[in-house]
Amino acid sequence: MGGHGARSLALLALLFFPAVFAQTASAAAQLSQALATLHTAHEAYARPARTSARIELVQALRPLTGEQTVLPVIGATTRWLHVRLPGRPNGATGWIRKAATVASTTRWHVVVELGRRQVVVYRSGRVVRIARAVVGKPSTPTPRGEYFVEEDVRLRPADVGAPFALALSARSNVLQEFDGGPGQIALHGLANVGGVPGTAVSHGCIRLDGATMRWLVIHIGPGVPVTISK
Amino acid sequence: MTQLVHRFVGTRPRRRFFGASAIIALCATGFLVTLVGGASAASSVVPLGTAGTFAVLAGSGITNTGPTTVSGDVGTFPTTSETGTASVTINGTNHAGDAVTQGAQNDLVVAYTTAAAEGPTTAIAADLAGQTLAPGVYNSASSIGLTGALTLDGGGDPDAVFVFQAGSTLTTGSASAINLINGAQSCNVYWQVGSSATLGTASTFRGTIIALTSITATTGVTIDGRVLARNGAVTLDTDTIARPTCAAATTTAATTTAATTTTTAATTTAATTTAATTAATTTTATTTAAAPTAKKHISATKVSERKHASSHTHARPARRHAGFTG
Repeated sequence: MGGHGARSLALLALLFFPAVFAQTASAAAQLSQALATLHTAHEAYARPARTSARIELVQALRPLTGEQTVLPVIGATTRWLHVRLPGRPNGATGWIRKAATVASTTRWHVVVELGRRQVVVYRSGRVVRIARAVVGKPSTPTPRGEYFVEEDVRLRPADVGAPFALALSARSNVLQEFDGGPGQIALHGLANVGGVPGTAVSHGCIRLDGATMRWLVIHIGPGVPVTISK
Repeated sequence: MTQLVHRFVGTRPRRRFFGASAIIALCATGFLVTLVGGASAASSVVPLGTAGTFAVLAGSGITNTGPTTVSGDVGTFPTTSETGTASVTINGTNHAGDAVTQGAQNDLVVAYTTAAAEGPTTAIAADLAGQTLAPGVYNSASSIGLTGALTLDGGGDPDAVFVFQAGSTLTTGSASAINLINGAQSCNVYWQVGSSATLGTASTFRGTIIALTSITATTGVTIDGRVLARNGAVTLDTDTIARPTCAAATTTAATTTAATTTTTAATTTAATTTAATTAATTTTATTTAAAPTAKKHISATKVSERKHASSHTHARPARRHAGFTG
Protein backbone atom coordinates (compact mmCIF):
# COMPACT_ATOMS: atom_id res chain seq x y z
CA MET A 1 0.00 0.00 0.00
CA GLY A 2 1.52 3.34 -1.01
CA GLY A 3 1.90 6.46 1.08
CA HIS A 4 -1.31 8.00 -0.20
CA GLY A 5 -3.19 4.82 0.57
CA ALA A 6 -1.72 4.67 4.03
CA ARG A 7 -2.76 8.24 4.78
CA SER A 8 -6.25 7.56 3.49
CA LEU A 9 -6.41 4.48 5.63
CA ALA A 10 -5.38 6.42 8.71
CA LEU A 11 -7.93 9.17 8.07
CA LEU A 12 -10.74 6.80 7.24
CA ALA A 13 -9.95 4.71 10.32
CA LEU A 14 -11.17 7.66 12.37
CA LEU A 15 -14.67 6.51 11.49
CA PHE A 16 -14.28 3.78 14.04
CA PHE A 17 -13.33 3.38 17.64
CA PRO A 18 -11.62 0.04 17.28
CA ALA A 19 -10.73 -0.21 20.91
CA VAL A 20 -10.21 2.24 23.71
CA PHE A 21 -7.95 1.32 26.54
CA ALA A 22 -7.64 2.20 30.17
CA GLN A 23 -4.65 1.50 32.32
CA THR A 24 -6.03 0.15 35.54
CA ALA A 25 -4.22 -0.90 38.62
CA SER A 26 -3.83 -4.47 37.48
CA ALA A 27 -3.98 -4.64 33.67
CA ALA A 28 -4.54 -2.72 30.48
CA ALA A 29 -8.30 -3.20 30.29
CA GLN A 30 -10.26 -2.03 27.29
CA LEU A 31 -12.93 0.59 27.86
CA SER A 32 -14.79 -0.55 24.77
CA GLN A 33 -14.44 -2.72 21.70
CA ALA A 34 -16.10 -2.27 18.32
CA LEU A 35 -17.80 -5.39 16.99
CA ALA A 36 -19.18 -6.56 13.68
CA THR A 37 -21.98 -9.13 13.41
CA LEU A 38 -21.94 -11.04 10.15
CA HIS A 39 -25.20 -11.45 8.28
CA THR A 40 -23.62 -13.48 5.51
CA ALA A 41 -20.43 -15.44 5.13
CA HIS A 42 -17.48 -13.13 4.48
CA GLU A 43 -14.24 -13.74 2.70
CA ALA A 44 -11.32 -12.53 4.77
CA TYR A 45 -8.35 -11.06 2.96
CA ALA A 46 -4.83 -10.11 3.91
CA ARG A 47 -5.42 -6.47 2.93
CA PRO A 48 -8.54 -4.37 2.27
CA ALA A 49 -8.61 -5.37 -1.36
CA ARG A 50 -10.13 -8.33 -3.15
CA THR A 51 -6.96 -8.62 -5.13
CA SER A 52 -4.95 -9.41 -2.02
CA ALA A 53 -4.38 -12.89 -0.65
CA ARG A 54 -7.50 -14.64 0.52
CA ILE A 55 -7.25 -15.97 4.05
CA GLU A 56 -10.46 -17.86 4.65
CA LEU A 57 -14.23 -17.80 4.38
CA VAL A 58 -15.75 -16.79 7.71
CA GLN A 59 -19.18 -18.32 8.10
CA ALA A 60 -22.08 -16.21 9.34
CA LEU A 61 -23.06 -18.80 11.92
CA ARG A 62 -20.92 -20.45 14.56
CA PRO A 63 -20.47 -24.21 14.34
CA LEU A 64 -21.52 -25.30 17.82
CA THR A 65 -24.69 -23.33 18.45
CA GLY A 66 -25.61 -21.65 15.18
CA GLU A 67 -25.09 -18.29 16.88
CA GLN A 68 -24.33 -15.40 14.54
CA THR A 69 -20.64 -14.70 14.14
CA VAL A 70 -19.51 -11.57 15.96
CA LEU A 71 -15.95 -10.38 15.37
CA PRO A 72 -13.92 -7.70 17.15
CA VAL A 73 -13.04 -4.84 14.83
CA ILE A 74 -9.51 -3.54 15.13
CA GLY A 75 -9.44 -1.20 12.15
CA ALA A 76 -11.54 0.06 9.27
CA THR A 77 -11.74 1.91 6.00
CA THR A 78 -14.90 3.19 4.35
CA ARG A 79 -15.71 -0.23 2.91
CA TRP A 80 -13.59 -2.68 4.85
CA LEU A 81 -13.24 -3.88 8.41
CA HIS A 82 -10.09 -5.28 9.93
CA VAL A 83 -11.23 -8.03 12.27
CA ARG A 84 -9.93 -10.78 14.50
CA LEU A 85 -10.60 -14.16 12.99
CA PRO A 86 -11.83 -17.28 14.73
CA GLY A 87 -9.81 -20.45 14.77
CA ARG A 88 -6.27 -21.19 13.74
CA PRO A 89 -3.72 -19.74 13.65
CA ASN A 90 -4.09 -18.07 17.04
CA GLY A 91 -4.34 -14.31 16.83
CA ALA A 92 -5.08 -14.23 13.12
CA THR A 93 -6.72 -11.14 11.67
CA GLY A 94 -8.07 -10.28 8.25
CA TRP A 95 -10.06 -7.77 6.25
CA ILE A 96 -13.72 -8.29 5.41
CA ARG A 97 -16.16 -6.18 3.47
CA LYS A 98 -18.27 -3.93 5.70
CA ALA A 99 -21.44 -4.68 3.74
CA ALA A 100 -23.79 -7.19 5.37
CA THR A 101 -22.33 -6.58 8.80
CA VAL A 102 -23.88 -4.78 11.71
CA ALA A 103 -21.78 -2.63 14.00
CA SER A 104 -22.06 -2.62 17.77
CA THR A 105 -19.88 -1.99 20.77
CA THR A 106 -19.12 -3.92 23.91
CA ARG A 107 -17.74 -2.49 27.11
CA TRP A 108 -16.83 -5.88 28.48
CA HIS A 109 -13.32 -7.29 28.56
CA VAL A 110 -12.29 -10.62 30.06
CA VAL A 111 -8.69 -11.05 31.17
CA VAL A 112 -7.30 -14.46 32.07
CA GLU A 113 -4.25 -14.01 34.28
CA LEU A 114 -2.41 -17.31 34.02
CA GLY A 115 0.18 -16.49 36.64
CA ARG A 116 -2.44 -15.60 39.22
CA ARG A 117 -4.72 -18.34 37.93
CA GLN A 118 -7.70 -16.07 37.89
CA VAL A 119 -10.19 -14.50 35.54
CA VAL A 120 -10.85 -10.78 35.83
CA VAL A 121 -13.90 -9.30 34.15
CA TYR A 122 -13.84 -5.60 33.31
CA ARG A 123 -16.59 -3.31 32.22
CA SER A 124 -15.60 0.09 30.90
CA GLY A 125 -12.16 -0.50 32.32
CA ARG A 126 -13.37 -1.25 35.84
CA VAL A 127 -13.12 -4.58 37.59
CA VAL A 128 -16.54 -6.15 37.90
CA ARG A 129 -15.74 -9.71 38.86
CA ILE A 130 -12.73 -11.82 39.74
CA ALA A 131 -12.76 -15.59 40.00
CA ARG A 132 -10.12 -18.18 40.63
CA ALA A 133 -9.64 -20.55 37.73
CA VAL A 134 -8.05 -23.80 36.69
CA VAL A 135 -5.64 -23.10 33.82
CA GLY A 136 -3.52 -25.26 31.54
CA LYS A 137 -0.80 -27.44 32.95
CA PRO A 138 2.74 -26.98 31.67
CA SER A 139 2.47 -29.72 29.04
CA THR A 140 -0.82 -28.32 27.68
CA PRO A 141 -0.64 -24.61 28.42
CA THR A 142 -3.44 -22.15 27.90
CA PRO A 143 -2.25 -20.10 24.92
CA ARG A 144 -1.47 -16.46 25.61
CA GLY A 145 -2.73 -13.72 23.31
CA GLU A 146 -5.67 -11.61 22.25
CA TYR A 147 -8.83 -13.56 21.51
CA PHE A 148 -12.57 -13.20 21.71
CA VAL A 149 -15.69 -15.13 22.63
CA GLU A 150 -16.94 -17.02 19.59
CA GLU A 151 -20.10 -18.37 21.16
CA ASP A 152 -21.85 -18.98 24.47
CA VAL A 153 -22.66 -22.65 24.80
CA ARG A 154 -25.21 -24.29 27.05
CA LEU A 155 -23.86 -27.75 27.81
CA ARG A 156 -25.85 -30.78 28.86
CA PRO A 157 -25.56 -31.78 32.52
CA ALA A 158 -23.45 -34.81 31.64
CA ASP A 159 -21.08 -32.87 29.39
CA VAL A 160 -17.55 -32.10 30.42
CA GLY A 161 -17.47 -28.53 31.67
CA ALA A 162 -21.20 -28.15 32.29
CA PRO A 163 -23.23 -26.06 32.83
CA PHE A 164 -21.93 -23.49 30.34
CA ALA A 165 -18.95 -22.69 28.17
CA LEU A 166 -17.63 -19.57 26.52
CA ALA A 167 -16.00 -20.97 23.40
CA LEU A 168 -13.03 -18.78 22.48
CA SER A 169 -11.27 -18.03 19.23
CA ALA A 170 -8.15 -19.53 20.82
CA ARG A 171 -6.86 -22.99 19.96
CA SER A 172 -4.38 -25.12 21.83
CA ASN A 173 -0.80 -24.74 20.62
CA VAL A 174 -0.19 -28.35 21.61
CA LEU A 175 -3.39 -30.26 20.93
CA GLN A 176 -4.42 -30.02 17.30
CA GLU A 177 -7.41 -32.20 18.07
CA PHE A 178 -8.97 -33.22 21.36
CA ASP A 179 -12.05 -35.23 22.19
CA GLY A 180 -13.35 -34.91 18.66
CA GLY A 181 -12.86 -31.19 18.52
CA PRO A 182 -10.26 -28.88 16.99
CA GLY A 183 -8.43 -28.19 20.24
CA GLN A 184 -10.62 -25.20 20.98
CA ILE A 185 -10.03 -23.30 24.21
CA ALA A 186 -13.04 -22.36 26.32
CA LEU A 187 -13.98 -20.98 29.65
CA HIS A 188 -16.21 -23.63 31.13
CA GLY A 189 -17.49 -25.17 34.32
CA LEU A 190 -16.09 -27.91 36.51
CA ALA A 191 -18.78 -30.54 36.06
CA ASN A 192 -17.57 -33.93 34.95
CA VAL A 193 -13.98 -32.78 34.81
CA GLY A 194 -13.20 -31.31 38.23
CA GLY A 195 -10.16 -29.37 39.24
CA VAL A 196 -9.54 -26.93 42.05
CA PRO A 197 -9.66 -23.26 41.04
CA GLY A 198 -6.23 -21.78 41.48
CA THR A 199 -4.37 -24.73 40.01
CA ALA A 200 -2.78 -25.43 36.64
CA VAL A 201 -4.04 -28.86 35.64
CA SER A 202 -6.25 -28.48 32.58
CA HIS A 203 -5.59 -29.38 28.97
CA GLY A 204 -5.65 -25.70 28.11
CA CYS A 205 -9.17 -24.62 28.93
CA ILE A 206 -10.00 -22.27 31.75
CA ARG A 207 -12.28 -23.94 34.28
CA LEU A 208 -14.46 -21.89 36.60
CA ASP A 209 -17.04 -22.66 39.25
CA GLY A 210 -20.66 -22.95 38.22
CA ALA A 211 -21.80 -19.71 39.77
CA THR A 212 -19.16 -17.78 37.85
CA MET A 213 -20.07 -19.50 34.59
CA ARG A 214 -23.74 -18.71 35.08
CA TRP A 215 -22.82 -15.08 35.68
CA LEU A 216 -20.54 -14.99 32.63
CA VAL A 217 -23.11 -16.28 30.17
CA ILE A 218 -25.56 -13.65 31.35
CA HIS A 219 -23.15 -10.79 30.85
CA ILE A 220 -20.55 -11.91 28.30
CA GLY A 221 -21.73 -12.47 24.74
CA PRO A 222 -20.10 -13.29 21.42
CA GLY A 223 -17.40 -10.91 20.32
CA VAL A 224 -16.29 -9.83 23.79
CA PRO A 225 -12.49 -9.54 23.78
CA VAL A 226 -10.55 -12.00 25.90
CA THR A 227 -6.93 -11.40 26.81
CA ILE A 228 -4.95 -14.36 28.07
CA SER A 229 -1.89 -13.01 29.79
CA LYS A 230 1.04 -14.24 31.77
CA MET B 1 -19.44 -37.83 16.99
CA THR B 2 -19.17 -35.14 14.39
CA GLN B 3 -15.70 -33.95 13.56
CA LEU B 4 -15.21 -30.33 12.86
CA VAL B 5 -13.65 -30.02 9.44
CA HIS B 6 -10.24 -28.49 9.67
CA ARG B 7 -9.99 -25.54 7.42
CA PHE B 8 -6.64 -25.59 5.67
CA VAL B 9 -5.05 -22.24 5.22
CA GLY B 10 -2.87 -22.52 2.12
CA THR B 11 -1.21 -19.19 2.55
CA ARG B 12 -0.01 -17.68 5.78
CA PRO B 13 -0.31 -13.96 5.22
CA ARG B 14 1.88 -11.51 6.99
CA ARG B 15 -0.13 -10.56 10.05
CA ARG B 16 -1.25 -6.98 10.22
CA PHE B 17 -3.04 -5.67 13.22
CA PHE B 18 -3.27 -2.44 15.10
CA GLY B 19 -1.02 -2.47 18.14
CA ALA B 20 -2.30 -0.73 21.20
CA SER B 21 -0.12 2.33 20.64
CA ALA B 22 -1.33 2.67 17.06
CA ILE B 23 -4.95 2.40 18.11
CA ILE B 24 -4.51 4.95 20.84
CA ALA B 25 -2.72 7.26 18.43
CA LEU B 26 -5.55 6.97 15.91
CA CYS B 27 -8.26 7.35 18.49
CA ALA B 28 -6.61 10.31 20.18
CA THR B 29 -6.66 12.28 16.95
CA GLY B 30 -10.35 12.99 16.88
CA PHE B 31 -12.28 11.23 19.58
CA LEU B 32 -13.06 11.56 23.21
CA VAL B 33 -10.61 9.17 24.75
CA THR B 34 -9.64 9.10 28.35
CA LEU B 35 -6.73 7.07 29.58
CA VAL B 36 -7.76 6.41 33.11
CA GLY B 37 -4.99 6.35 35.62
CA GLY B 38 -6.93 4.08 37.94
CA ALA B 39 -8.25 6.52 40.57
CA SER B 40 -12.01 6.74 40.90
CA ALA B 41 -14.30 9.50 42.11
CA ALA B 42 -14.48 10.27 45.78
CA SER B 43 -16.43 8.08 48.22
CA SER B 44 -18.67 6.00 46.01
CA VAL B 45 -20.85 3.16 47.18
CA VAL B 46 -18.90 -0.07 47.28
CA PRO B 47 -20.78 -2.67 45.21
CA LEU B 48 -21.17 -5.73 47.42
CA GLY B 49 -23.20 -7.71 44.90
CA THR B 50 -24.51 -10.93 46.38
CA ALA B 51 -22.25 -10.47 49.41
CA GLY B 52 -24.63 -7.71 50.45
CA THR B 53 -27.18 -10.13 51.85
CA PHE B 54 -24.62 -11.54 54.26
CA ALA B 55 -24.02 -10.25 57.74
CA VAL B 56 -21.24 -12.78 58.35
CA LEU B 57 -19.11 -14.16 55.53
CA ALA B 58 -15.83 -16.01 56.00
CA GLY B 59 -13.23 -17.77 53.90
CA SER B 60 -11.82 -20.24 56.39
CA GLY B 61 -14.61 -20.97 58.82
CA ILE B 62 -16.77 -19.41 61.49
CA THR B 63 -16.31 -19.97 65.23
CA ASN B 64 -18.74 -18.73 67.85
CA THR B 65 -18.87 -18.73 71.61
CA GLY B 66 -21.94 -17.78 73.62
CA PRO B 67 -25.32 -16.46 72.55
CA THR B 68 -24.77 -14.47 69.38
CA THR B 69 -27.50 -12.93 67.23
CA VAL B 70 -27.02 -12.40 63.52
CA SER B 71 -29.56 -10.61 61.34
CA GLY B 72 -28.55 -11.41 57.79
CA ASP B 73 -27.16 -14.38 55.93
CA VAL B 74 -24.23 -16.43 57.10
CA GLY B 75 -21.72 -18.45 55.10
CA THR B 76 -18.14 -19.54 54.70
CA PHE B 77 -16.20 -20.77 51.65
CA PRO B 78 -13.89 -22.49 50.70
CA THR B 79 -13.56 -23.78 54.27
CA THR B 80 -17.10 -24.62 55.26
CA SER B 81 -16.71 -25.42 58.97
CA GLU B 82 -18.95 -23.59 61.40
CA THR B 83 -18.39 -24.14 65.12
CA GLY B 84 -20.64 -23.04 67.94
CA THR B 85 -23.54 -22.12 65.70
CA ALA B 86 -25.96 -23.86 68.06
CA SER B 87 -25.91 -20.75 70.20
CA VAL B 88 -26.26 -18.42 67.23
CA THR B 89 -29.68 -17.02 66.44
CA ILE B 90 -29.73 -16.37 62.70
CA ASN B 91 -32.42 -14.09 61.34
CA GLY B 92 -31.56 -14.98 57.79
CA THR B 93 -30.16 -18.00 55.98
CA ASN B 94 -27.13 -20.00 56.96
CA HIS B 95 -25.75 -20.85 53.52
CA ALA B 96 -22.68 -22.56 54.97
CA GLY B 97 -20.50 -23.26 51.90
CA ASP B 98 -23.16 -23.48 49.22
CA ALA B 99 -23.21 -21.92 45.78
CA VAL B 100 -24.69 -18.69 47.13
CA THR B 101 -21.76 -18.31 49.49
CA GLN B 102 -19.34 -19.10 46.71
CA GLY B 103 -20.86 -16.41 44.55
CA ALA B 104 -20.79 -13.99 47.45
CA GLN B 105 -17.08 -14.65 47.95
CA ASN B 106 -16.47 -13.89 44.30
CA ASP B 107 -18.40 -10.64 44.63
CA LEU B 108 -16.52 -9.85 47.80
CA VAL B 109 -13.26 -9.86 45.87
CA VAL B 110 -14.66 -7.21 43.56
CA ALA B 111 -15.94 -5.20 46.51
CA TYR B 112 -12.56 -5.34 48.20
CA THR B 113 -10.74 -4.24 45.07
CA THR B 114 -13.22 -1.46 44.45
CA ALA B 115 -12.99 -0.15 47.99
CA ALA B 116 -9.21 -0.28 47.91
CA ALA B 117 -9.15 1.73 44.70
CA GLU B 118 -11.46 4.52 45.81
CA GLY B 119 -10.07 7.99 46.01
CA PRO B 120 -8.88 10.64 46.24
CA THR B 121 -7.95 9.75 49.77
CA THR B 122 -7.37 11.70 52.95
CA ALA B 123 -4.69 10.46 55.32
CA ILE B 124 -5.84 9.75 58.84
CA ALA B 125 -4.17 9.40 62.20
CA ALA B 126 -3.49 5.96 63.60
CA ASP B 127 -6.23 6.46 66.24
CA LEU B 128 -9.58 7.86 65.15
CA ALA B 129 -10.85 8.47 68.69
CA GLY B 130 -12.36 11.90 69.23
CA GLN B 131 -12.60 12.73 65.53
CA THR B 132 -15.63 13.87 63.57
CA LEU B 133 -15.32 13.04 59.91
CA ALA B 134 -17.23 14.16 56.85
CA PRO B 135 -18.00 11.81 53.96
CA GLY B 136 -14.95 10.75 52.01
CA VAL B 137 -12.23 8.19 51.55
CA TYR B 138 -9.81 7.88 54.44
CA ASN B 139 -6.57 6.00 54.16
CA SER B 140 -3.94 4.68 56.49
CA ALA B 141 -0.96 3.02 54.89
CA SER B 142 -0.64 0.81 57.95
CA SER B 143 -3.21 0.23 60.69
CA ILE B 144 -6.38 1.96 61.81
CA GLY B 145 -7.26 2.09 65.48
CA LEU B 146 -10.13 3.38 67.55
CA THR B 147 -9.71 3.68 71.31
CA GLY B 148 -12.73 5.88 71.95
CA ALA B 149 -15.59 7.45 70.02
CA LEU B 150 -15.58 8.29 66.34
CA THR B 151 -18.33 10.45 64.84
CA LEU B 152 -19.33 10.27 61.19
CA ASP B 153 -21.22 13.36 60.05
CA GLY B 154 -23.38 12.91 56.97
CA GLY B 155 -23.92 16.66 56.57
CA GLY B 156 -27.62 16.11 56.01
CA ASP B 157 -27.09 13.74 53.08
CA PRO B 158 -28.51 10.23 53.62
CA ASP B 159 -26.40 9.04 50.69
CA ALA B 160 -23.15 10.20 52.25
CA VAL B 161 -20.49 7.51 51.84
CA PHE B 162 -17.53 6.87 54.11
CA VAL B 163 -14.73 4.54 53.01
CA PHE B 164 -11.85 3.65 55.30
CA GLN B 165 -8.79 1.94 53.85
CA ALA B 166 -6.34 0.22 56.20
CA GLY B 167 -3.10 -1.05 54.78
CA SER B 168 -2.90 -3.63 57.52
CA THR B 169 -5.09 -4.07 60.61
CA LEU B 170 -8.22 -2.50 62.01
CA THR B 171 -8.40 -2.61 65.81
CA THR B 172 -11.04 -1.08 68.03
CA GLY B 173 -10.70 -0.85 71.77
CA SER B 174 -13.00 -1.93 74.56
CA ALA B 175 -16.15 0.16 74.83
CA SER B 176 -15.19 2.14 71.74
CA ALA B 177 -18.02 3.46 69.63
CA ILE B 178 -18.90 4.89 66.23
CA ASN B 179 -21.65 7.50 66.22
CA LEU B 180 -23.60 8.57 63.16
CA ILE B 181 -25.07 12.07 62.91
CA ASN B 182 -26.78 14.30 60.36
CA GLY B 183 -28.02 11.57 58.05
CA ALA B 184 -25.00 9.28 58.05
CA GLN B 185 -26.05 5.63 57.71
CA SER B 186 -24.22 2.40 58.48
CA CYS B 187 -25.17 1.03 55.07
CA ASN B 188 -22.84 3.61 53.51
CA VAL B 189 -19.83 3.03 55.74
CA TYR B 190 -17.12 0.67 54.49
CA TRP B 191 -13.91 -0.55 56.11
CA GLN B 192 -11.43 -2.11 53.69
CA VAL B 193 -8.83 -3.91 55.79
CA GLY B 194 -5.56 -5.10 54.31
CA SER B 195 -5.13 -7.86 56.84
CA SER B 196 -7.25 -8.58 59.94
CA ALA B 197 -9.84 -6.73 61.99
CA THR B 198 -10.37 -7.05 65.74
CA LEU B 199 -13.26 -5.39 67.56
CA GLY B 200 -12.88 -4.68 71.27
CA THR B 201 -15.10 -5.99 74.04
CA ALA B 202 -18.43 -4.25 74.54
CA SER B 203 -17.71 -1.93 71.65
CA THR B 204 -20.18 -0.58 69.11
CA PHE B 205 -19.17 -0.77 65.50
CA ARG B 206 -20.89 0.55 62.41
CA GLY B 207 -20.38 -0.26 58.76
CA THR B 208 -19.27 -3.15 56.57
CA ILE B 209 -15.86 -4.62 57.24
CA ILE B 210 -14.24 -6.16 54.15
CA ALA B 211 -11.09 -7.83 55.40
CA LEU B 212 -8.47 -9.62 53.38
CA THR B 213 -7.90 -12.17 56.15
CA SER B 214 -9.75 -12.63 59.44
CA ILE B 215 -12.26 -10.76 61.57
CA THR B 216 -12.59 -11.20 65.33
CA ALA B 217 -15.47 -9.73 67.30
CA THR B 218 -14.56 -10.16 70.95
CA THR B 219 -17.10 -10.41 73.76
CA GLY B 220 -20.25 -8.37 73.63
CA VAL B 221 -19.70 -6.38 70.44
CA THR B 222 -22.65 -4.72 68.76
CA ILE B 223 -22.18 -4.43 65.02
CA ASP B 224 -24.54 -2.34 62.94
CA GLY B 225 -23.04 -3.66 59.76
CA ARG B 226 -21.38 -6.70 58.26
CA VAL B 227 -18.25 -8.72 58.91
CA LEU B 228 -17.01 -10.05 55.58
CA ALA B 229 -13.68 -11.87 55.51
CA ARG B 230 -12.19 -12.91 52.18
CA ASN B 231 -9.60 -15.50 53.11
CA GLY B 232 -9.66 -15.80 56.87
CA ALA B 233 -12.01 -16.87 59.61
CA VAL B 234 -14.67 -14.96 61.46
CA THR B 235 -14.66 -15.40 65.24
CA LEU B 236 -17.64 -14.32 67.33
CA ASP B 237 -18.37 -14.22 71.06
CA THR B 238 -21.73 -13.20 72.40
CA ASP B 239 -22.14 -10.54 69.75
CA THR B 240 -25.03 -8.86 68.00
CA ILE B 241 -24.66 -8.30 64.27
CA ALA B 242 -27.34 -6.71 62.10
CA ARG B 243 -26.97 -6.19 58.37
CA PRO B 244 -27.77 -2.53 57.69
CA THR B 245 -30.34 -1.31 55.20
CA CYS B 246 -30.34 2.13 53.73
CA ALA B 247 -33.18 4.51 54.25
CA ALA B 248 -32.21 6.09 50.89
CA ALA B 249 -30.08 4.72 48.05
CA THR B 250 -26.85 5.65 46.35
CA THR B 251 -24.96 6.00 43.08
CA THR B 252 -22.07 4.65 41.07
CA ALA B 253 -22.90 0.99 40.72
CA ALA B 254 -26.13 1.89 38.92
CA THR B 255 -24.26 3.31 35.96
CA THR B 256 -22.22 0.21 35.51
CA THR B 257 -25.06 -2.23 35.92
CA ALA B 258 -27.55 -0.39 33.75
CA ALA B 259 -24.98 -0.25 30.99
CA THR B 260 -24.41 -3.93 31.49
CA THR B 261 -28.04 -4.57 30.84
CA THR B 262 -28.22 -2.49 27.71
CA THR B 263 -25.12 -3.93 26.15
CA THR B 264 -26.37 -7.42 26.79
CA ALA B 265 -29.68 -6.59 25.16
CA ALA B 266 -27.95 -5.13 22.14
CA THR B 267 -25.82 -8.18 21.64
CA THR B 268 -28.73 -10.56 21.92
CA THR B 269 -30.93 -8.61 19.56
CA ALA B 270 -28.21 -8.32 16.97
CA ALA B 271 -28.10 -12.07 16.80
CA THR B 272 -31.67 -12.42 15.66
CA THR B 273 -32.98 -9.54 13.55
CA THR B 274 -32.37 -6.92 10.91
CA ALA B 275 -29.91 -4.08 10.88
CA ALA B 276 -32.63 -1.51 11.53
CA THR B 277 -33.82 -3.33 14.60
CA THR B 278 -30.32 -3.78 15.81
CA ALA B 279 -29.57 -0.14 15.27
CA ALA B 280 -32.68 0.79 17.22
CA THR B 281 -31.62 -1.48 20.02
CA THR B 282 -28.21 0.07 20.06
CA THR B 283 -29.73 3.51 20.24
CA THR B 284 -31.95 2.45 23.04
CA ALA B 285 -28.98 0.92 24.79
CA THR B 286 -27.13 4.20 24.54
CA THR B 287 -30.05 6.15 25.91
CA THR B 288 -30.58 3.76 28.76
CA ALA B 289 -26.94 3.88 29.69
CA ALA B 290 -27.25 7.63 30.20
CA ALA B 291 -30.44 7.29 32.21
CA PRO B 292 -29.36 6.17 35.65
CA THR B 293 -29.13 9.54 37.34
CA ALA B 294 -31.43 8.52 40.17
CA LYS B 295 -29.55 7.94 43.35
CA LYS B 296 -30.79 4.46 43.79
CA HIS B 297 -28.49 1.78 45.05
CA ILE B 298 -28.89 -1.14 42.73
CA SER B 299 -26.64 -4.13 42.95
CA ALA B 300 -25.48 -5.71 39.72
CA THR B 301 -27.46 -8.81 40.59
CA LYS B 302 -30.72 -6.90 41.11
CA VAL B 303 -30.43 -5.00 37.84
CA SER B 304 -29.77 -8.12 35.82
CA GLU B 305 -32.70 -9.81 37.49
CA ARG B 306 -34.99 -6.89 36.78
CA LYS B 307 -33.95 -6.50 33.15
CA HIS B 308 -33.71 -10.17 32.32
CA ALA B 309 -35.63 -13.28 33.11
CA SER B 310 -33.71 -15.23 35.70
CA SER B 311 -32.77 -17.80 33.07
CA HIS B 312 -31.80 -15.29 30.35
CA THR B 313 -28.33 -15.91 29.07
CA HIS B 314 -26.42 -15.55 25.82
CA ALA B 315 -25.93 -19.30 25.82
CA ARG B 316 -27.51 -21.56 23.24
CA PRO B 317 -27.56 -25.34 23.30
CA ALA B 318 -24.72 -27.04 21.51
CA ARG B 319 -25.95 -28.72 18.35
CA ARG B 320 -23.11 -31.22 18.47
CA HIS B 321 -20.36 -32.37 20.77
CA ALA B 322 -18.20 -29.40 21.66
CA GLY B 323 -14.88 -31.16 22.15
CA PHE B 324 -13.09 -28.43 24.06
CA THR B 325 -9.62 -29.21 25.35
CA GLY B 326 -11.02 -29.31 28.86
